[in-house]
Amino acid sequence: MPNASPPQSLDHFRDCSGGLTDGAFRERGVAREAYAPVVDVLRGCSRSELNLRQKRLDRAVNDLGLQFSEGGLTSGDVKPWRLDLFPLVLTPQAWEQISTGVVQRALAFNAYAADLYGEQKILRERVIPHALALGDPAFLRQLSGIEVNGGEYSQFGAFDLVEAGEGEWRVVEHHMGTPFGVSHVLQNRRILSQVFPELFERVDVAPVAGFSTYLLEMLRAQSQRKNPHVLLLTRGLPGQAYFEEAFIARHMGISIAQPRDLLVRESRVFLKTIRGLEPVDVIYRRVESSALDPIAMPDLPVPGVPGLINVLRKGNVAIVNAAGAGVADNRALLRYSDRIITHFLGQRPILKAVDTYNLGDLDQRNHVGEHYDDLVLKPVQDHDVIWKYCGGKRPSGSAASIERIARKHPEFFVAQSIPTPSRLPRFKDGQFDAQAVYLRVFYILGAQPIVLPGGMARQNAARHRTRRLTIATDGLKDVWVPDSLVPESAPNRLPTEPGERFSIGSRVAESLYWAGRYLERAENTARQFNTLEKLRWDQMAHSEQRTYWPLLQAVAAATGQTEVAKLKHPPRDTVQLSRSLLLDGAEGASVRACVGFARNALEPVRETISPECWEVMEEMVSFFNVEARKRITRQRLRQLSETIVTEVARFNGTAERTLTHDDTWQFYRMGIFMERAMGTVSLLRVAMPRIVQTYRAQDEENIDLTALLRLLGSLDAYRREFRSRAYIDRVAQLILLGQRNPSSVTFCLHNLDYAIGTLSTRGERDLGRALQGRLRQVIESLQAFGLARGTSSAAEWLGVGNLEAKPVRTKPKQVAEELAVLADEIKSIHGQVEDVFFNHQGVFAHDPVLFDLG
Amino acid sequence: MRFRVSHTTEYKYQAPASESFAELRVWPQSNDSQQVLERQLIVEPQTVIDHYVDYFGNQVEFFSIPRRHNSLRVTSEAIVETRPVQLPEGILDITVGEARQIYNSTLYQLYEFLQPSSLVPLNQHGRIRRRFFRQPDTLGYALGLLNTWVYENFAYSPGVTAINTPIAEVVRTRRGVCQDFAHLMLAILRSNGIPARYVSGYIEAYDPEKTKDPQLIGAAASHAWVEVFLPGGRWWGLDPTNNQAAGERHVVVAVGRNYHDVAPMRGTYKGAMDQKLNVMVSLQRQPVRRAS
Repeated sequence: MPNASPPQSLDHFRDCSGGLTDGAFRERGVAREAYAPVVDVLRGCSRSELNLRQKRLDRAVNDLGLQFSEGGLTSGDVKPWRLDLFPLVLTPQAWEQISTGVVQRALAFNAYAADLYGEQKILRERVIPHALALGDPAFLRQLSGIEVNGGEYSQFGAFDLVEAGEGEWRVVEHHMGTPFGVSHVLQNRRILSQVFPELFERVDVAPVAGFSTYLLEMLRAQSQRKNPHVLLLTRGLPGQAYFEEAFIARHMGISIAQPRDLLVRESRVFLKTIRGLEPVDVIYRRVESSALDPIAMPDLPVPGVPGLINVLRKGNVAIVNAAGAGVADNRALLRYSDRIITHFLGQRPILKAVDTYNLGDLDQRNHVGEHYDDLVLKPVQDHDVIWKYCGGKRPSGSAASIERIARKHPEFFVAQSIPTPSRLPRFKDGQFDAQAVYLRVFYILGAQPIVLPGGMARQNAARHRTRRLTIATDGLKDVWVPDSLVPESAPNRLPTEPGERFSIGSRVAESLYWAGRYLERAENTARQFNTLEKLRWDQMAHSEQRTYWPLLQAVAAATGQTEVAKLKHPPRDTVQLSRSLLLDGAEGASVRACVGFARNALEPVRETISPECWEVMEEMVSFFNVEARKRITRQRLRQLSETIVTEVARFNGTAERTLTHDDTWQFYRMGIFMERAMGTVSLLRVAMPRIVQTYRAQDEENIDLTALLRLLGSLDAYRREFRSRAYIDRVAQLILLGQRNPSSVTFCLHNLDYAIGTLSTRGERDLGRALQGRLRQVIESLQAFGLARGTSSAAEWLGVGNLEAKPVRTKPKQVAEELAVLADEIKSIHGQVEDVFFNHQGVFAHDPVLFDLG
Repeated sequence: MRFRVSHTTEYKYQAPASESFAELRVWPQSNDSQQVLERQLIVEPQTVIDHYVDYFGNQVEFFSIPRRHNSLRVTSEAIVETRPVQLPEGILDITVGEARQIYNSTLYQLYEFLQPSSLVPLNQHGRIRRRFFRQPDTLGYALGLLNTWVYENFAYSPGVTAINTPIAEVVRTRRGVCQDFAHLMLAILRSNGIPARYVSGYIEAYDPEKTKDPQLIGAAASHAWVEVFLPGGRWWGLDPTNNQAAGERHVVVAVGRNYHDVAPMRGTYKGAMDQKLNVMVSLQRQPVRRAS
């Protein structure tokens, strides 16, 4: 007998009393057959060993969440979920019942959805009360009559089950619309088997990892095309849903899109990519049906893809799960699930639902009133829409608040009697206590239905639930199914051709481009500020401060602080100005704001950057948040600016080392070079005309010119190149034409040209080429710049010419004009980058109608 | 009567718009009481127009204009022939009580025309609601009473309400336009268990055959009124804005549960918020050459 009682000192299971409601123990100390191997292994471990393992589980889960923490300041604060040491183990009998029952129920409720959006026979024949179905907030009249692939509305879904004793499993909830949690199933298994491999040694557990492949195959099968373009549609809000979406998408190798990444044109839906518009064939939707299309659902002011429902109507895109699939989750139907299964399949129901009462029905409401303490109150749907129907306010989450709404709008509420669920050991504070457990089981339909051999078990649940399950607050368990029960060659599907890779989305490209620009701007401002501070206080007489005011203005102007640029004299309190330059909150273009913007640009595309990069980014943001609260001194501001220069360098170094140097990366670099070129030119525009005005070649060292070189980080470069004091034409040459000076305009434009050249936009739509041509023209035109062709220093160098007779002819006005033209050119290249890669006006320009005369 | 209908909607954008998408319900219906003889839709800038029939039987057209544009102009033109409405003998003479019984036997079919929605909330304003539809009244009398009550107690004042102005506000201020009157009337009808739907369409302002014809309201733009489901399965139009039943001078375009189901044009675009909207509707009676 493997489960004889061990010495008391090692019994971690003292709190598990055994009996009917104990899932793992038959009686105190005697494990049920299915759990015996697990209990044995755990008994063989000391308490400190178990504590250690649980800590490692927690750490592994935390590491996963690094990229996806909510709140966003310090990573690691929020645990994505808690995984328990003790798994849920299903017996062969239970799995047989569950897996066949799940498929049966999925098929029946799919038939229900198809009927409801079609002929509504079930209502005509009065099998169920019509008001329950037609009054369902998830039922969208607009979708009636739209054909759905194979009539299956929910191809991928889940059910929540509870063990009602004696091995009977009952259904508590449906998740046939947008099921959550499959990523947790896969991760729980991976982590538990890594942290505690001994648990698996004596049991043959069916693997779960293949599920995402089946999901992808099901999605691809929705389209007739050989290499269909499949993508995942999300609202993109940070949080657990997004964690799961990023995980699933990565596992299936499909891209993630938000509604604004898609565009409807001539009854087809397209993804905006850097290659132009790519037609989309299959959408795996993770948004509610009512949020798919603001034109089709005008009562609900949520962003969606305008026109998407019409594309669906024309059969030009497949959506999984089908728009409207949520009607199968209507909790009011649970009372009638046996009837629904019998009506559509003519079979005896395998899994029964827990007793459910509809408050809209007077008799049932009275029953609920009498047994209120034994029942759980729930809205008929989890959709946010429902609260709109119930007076517009979401309940606070307290029992009293949901009761109040249910009393006023009973037709939108059900009460469930949850049988005392069987309890399983949970590891807590060094030993196991017993906790009620709910099981979520996932299925995929299609030609060969599959039930994921495993699932997501969670401990407990709030009494009256008002929101979709948040996994963070619930402890999870791995779920085991004996491998012998899973059909050997499960679904027999042919491997699909990989096909051509799809291009990166415009939004991803745009986000990285702007992240590059903002970080570069932050670094520029911080560095230039620091340089000025040093100039002013280390090298300057007090009276000279005024002389340097214009340069500070130039820095302010380059960062977009236009008001400062208008002031003629330095304000008395420059500390305040410096503070706003560095620390101003969200508004303006302060260093802090720029870092914040960069973070906000990256956050929705976190899945495309490395966790290491994201960590540096988050640290920078939280550093600012701390600094902004401190008392400001000049000394502190100087330190702050130094830290930012270092931190941005750290970010760039980390990015260089940890990101794939693909298109995504190139857009980040393009942002950097675009911003740097713009920053240099805008600094020149403020500083140069003034310098030209006062400049005389035979003067002693020109302080303004030297300072300008310093500001652009080019003083050393200048000295190496020319080994002379600063002459205006040489400075201009270095800053405008320098091939190897990272601050020079030519250098930046060359790098932009190079980055665009590496993009995988080759093919029929060779979009970047025109842009590259334009860049080269600008680089060429720089050669003709008046300022850089001045002869003053050359003449002096060669010792010829009469400087008095041949003064520098370049006039401040001319310099200003030339620089203005250059700034406009660069700005228009930025506009072109946006048009070609992000807005697709480049593609639209190829529309034949646009070539019409006139 | 034969009408040439023209309905133009024009948007002028301050800054260029892009990625426009729009859905239109401006194609008049063909049914028992009217026939569309000719129809065309012109969209500028030019684009591909697609079309479908929605759940309520309305003809819906849609198009997209992804490239930048400074204005958008949509013109729907049609020639429509209308016929006088003929109701079955005695249908309006049955009592409200009898009518309710008949409705009760077909509640499933009539479900959505009795339900509340955000634009037509039910069971408010009890004092007003209970004034109408007493069991012994004949249906014709009760409906006429309500129609006239709305006409006499509410002032037609364009510009004081928007499409999402709540009915409660309209009841309070006693002012509104045809959409508000239609929604109000639907609310009272449905609260009283009388199935009814929202109608958008056009109305002829003057009768050219009469010299001193009172001008009908609502001709300058899209008009709206309601249709009541009469026992036996017929929809009957009532126009509270003009205190009359819908007749030959009404052209039906679309029907639905409320304004959202029939909005003549609904769309989105990317660009600055400020746009200028200009709507022009004209209804010209055409001579009908009768076959001899």
